[in-house]
Amino acid sequence: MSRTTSFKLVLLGESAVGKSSLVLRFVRNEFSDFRINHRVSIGFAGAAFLTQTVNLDDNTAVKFEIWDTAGQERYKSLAPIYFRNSNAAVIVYDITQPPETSFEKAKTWVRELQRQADPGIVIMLVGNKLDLSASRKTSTELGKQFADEEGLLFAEASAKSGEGVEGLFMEIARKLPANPPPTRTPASRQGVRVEGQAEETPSACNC
Amino acid sequence: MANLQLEEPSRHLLCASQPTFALSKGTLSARASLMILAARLGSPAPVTHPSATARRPGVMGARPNRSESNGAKTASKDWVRRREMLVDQALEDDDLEALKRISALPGGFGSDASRKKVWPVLLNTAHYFAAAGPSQATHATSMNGHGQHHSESAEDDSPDVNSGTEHPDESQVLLDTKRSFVSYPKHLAPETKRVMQADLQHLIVGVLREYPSLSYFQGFHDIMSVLYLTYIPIPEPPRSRSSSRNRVQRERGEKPVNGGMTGEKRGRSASPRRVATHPDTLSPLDGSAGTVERHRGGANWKTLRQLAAVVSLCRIRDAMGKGLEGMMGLLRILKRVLKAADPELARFSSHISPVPTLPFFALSWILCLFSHDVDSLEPIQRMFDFLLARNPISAIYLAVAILVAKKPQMFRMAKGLGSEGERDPSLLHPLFARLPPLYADTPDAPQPDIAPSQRADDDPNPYEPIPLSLVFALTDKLMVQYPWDEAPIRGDEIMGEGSVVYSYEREIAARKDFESGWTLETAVQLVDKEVVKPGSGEADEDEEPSLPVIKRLRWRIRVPRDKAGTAVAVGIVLVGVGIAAYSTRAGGSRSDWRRWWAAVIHEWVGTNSGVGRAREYWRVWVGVVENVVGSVRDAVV
Repeated sequence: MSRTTSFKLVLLGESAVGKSSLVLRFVRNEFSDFRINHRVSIGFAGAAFLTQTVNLDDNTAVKFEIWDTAGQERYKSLAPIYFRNSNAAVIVYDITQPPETSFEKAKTWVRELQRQADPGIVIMLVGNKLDLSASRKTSTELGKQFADEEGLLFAEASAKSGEGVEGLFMEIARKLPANPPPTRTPASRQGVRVEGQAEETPSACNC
Repeated sequence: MANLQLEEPSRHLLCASQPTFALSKGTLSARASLMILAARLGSPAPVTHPSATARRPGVMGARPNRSESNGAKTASKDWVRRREMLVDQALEDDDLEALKRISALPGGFGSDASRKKVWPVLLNTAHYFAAAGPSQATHATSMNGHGQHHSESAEDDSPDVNSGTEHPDESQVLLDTKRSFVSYPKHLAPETKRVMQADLQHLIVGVLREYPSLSYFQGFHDIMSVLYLTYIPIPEPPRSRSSSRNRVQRERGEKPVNGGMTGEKRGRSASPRRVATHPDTLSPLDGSAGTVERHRGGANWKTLRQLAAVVSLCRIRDAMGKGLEGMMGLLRILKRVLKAADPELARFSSHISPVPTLPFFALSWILCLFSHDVDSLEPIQRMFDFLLARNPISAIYLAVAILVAKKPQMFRMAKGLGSEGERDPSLLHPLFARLPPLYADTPDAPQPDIAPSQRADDDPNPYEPIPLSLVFALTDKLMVQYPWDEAPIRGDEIMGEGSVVYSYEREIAARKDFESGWTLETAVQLVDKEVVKPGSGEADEDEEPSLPVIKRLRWRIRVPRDKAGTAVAVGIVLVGVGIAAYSTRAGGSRSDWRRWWAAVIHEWVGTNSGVGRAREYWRVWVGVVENVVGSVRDAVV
């Protein structure tokens, strides 16, 4: 009997670097050319909220609850609402852009997380669009070096070809603590009611 | 006696579909019961698991069969013609109240042709663009101080990137317009979509360059795409012209060419919507880059540009400043309205966000006026009909009405999540954020003929359709019951004088008083000015306790299946009483509600088959809704 542990994961990164595409590849093994049917993400975690479970071994499974985010700068102020409670973050940049654009933005997200997120958060830096490596403008070394310095996980991947996508989520899963994450206390897992909760309980409650 | 008569058919209805209800005695209210019944009646197909419906063909809002069916044709023609006359009369009288009321009715403004006449009136474009002359209506020269002229004249054949000063958000606009027209219209040829995306880019960049103090937000492109699709016919793909046009028209959720009036004479002056032969649009769009631009010189495009400007500056200005303060303010108001309208649902909703502060799940709804989240065109056009006829705060009430309307379904699904959902309420977040299919009901088609659309390549909508007129009636009721600037909502403590919710009043005053001083320039000056009151970002005193709640929350919803029929019957009686009381309080005529209520009972008694009863009841319910809307209007007036 395998044990499944749920973790919250938030995706961050500049607009159109492929955040939603990575999630869709991971969860549904699909890739949609954005010109055809890929919507812009607005705000946070609307219909883009998805879950996917990966098996680490015969006895352990990790379920990701993935919160996708909007890339535009103006929505940045909302991000802490979501990443403060996350166990993992995937920060995405586009390797076909010069480093001073989306890679630079990825670095600011790292700083943001270091400042505001749970200190135990697992951060994965991902250079996306590896299928377009012929027009690469941000080198693997640059990403790798920054990740090493900051103690982040690092991967390059292609949501389009699928290369590296599952691997990066597996790596996050392995890095996450084996114990239930802090957002689930043993008490809550058993559904024990806490004192003072009566007023909070919907009247439909049968307790 | 009435109870006995009511109970039986109700039970029958329920048996015909699926007798599972997210209800308990504790939650039963008249409104909830009506919502359930409405949701039920709105969907003739039994509830199926999402995976079972995922590949079901059909398009929500599209009614390809009806227009081909001779039986329905006559009825359709009658109500459309009547409605168009009503609209024309209201337009003639510049009767905003009438337009407001019509927008909420089943069928709304009746036809696309009507809608296209109404929107400029609701937005009062003639007032703002009078200087250029209504017929030419070439846009007034820009207000950006650069003296650039952004006319939509035929010679303006380049996508605005050659004129004016580049707006800093243009690259973001391009990223987003390249991802536009995704949910609707469906089945566009790639080349067609490319032309439309270029048009949209042109439209948005034009507005931004003209009013550079506006900031673009992701989602603005969704709002603009609704305006665009309403006024600009879908360009012709290079090959297999007519067949694909007709298909696309149907997929847009519209009636076929000629506004569903194929082969019929139209009684009024309304020009038939001859998309396929529209002189503005057909010939230029056959592909070559040089001719693609030419339709931008047409009258439709001019109207579109004017509407885009007025919507941006007068209706969604709060979202087009530098930050999100305005939206946060609106979310706070939404939270308060929800709490007033349905305390249980409000409590429930506060537990599903990672941090239980504001109803962030509704952010994209109100930010994009629902255009990002509705997945077919006709319903969102109807919602725009409704919203454009009201103070922009109406979007908040519409959001709450939708939540209340989908609550029974939502609770049922939440129940289905079982212990997992109890342990982790954030799993319910997608249930909150997802809009149900909102069905653009009409008097002759109060419920969908066919299954709701399922984006074949995307996750299916787990909800059953809910008729829009029902949601609209509830929205109006809530707006009267809980005014945004009075207790308990007290939105006036949150929104500043520079917000659209205040400037709307000036906008309305300018309809009567041309010297009122309200112009687009005035609106420009309000961008980023006092959108919210100072200090309004602070937490409500009634704010939910912070983080630990998520760990503690233990909720359960009872689903008393065998009692559902009785519950609904009782609910219907309560609603009858409620409507009566409400009408009386609102000053409506007693005989009015009695008449409606008698009609309800009469219809139940007088019909035979279960399905027939359902449909008949539905017609009457629509009548009741109209009555409520009428009462609300009376109360306002």
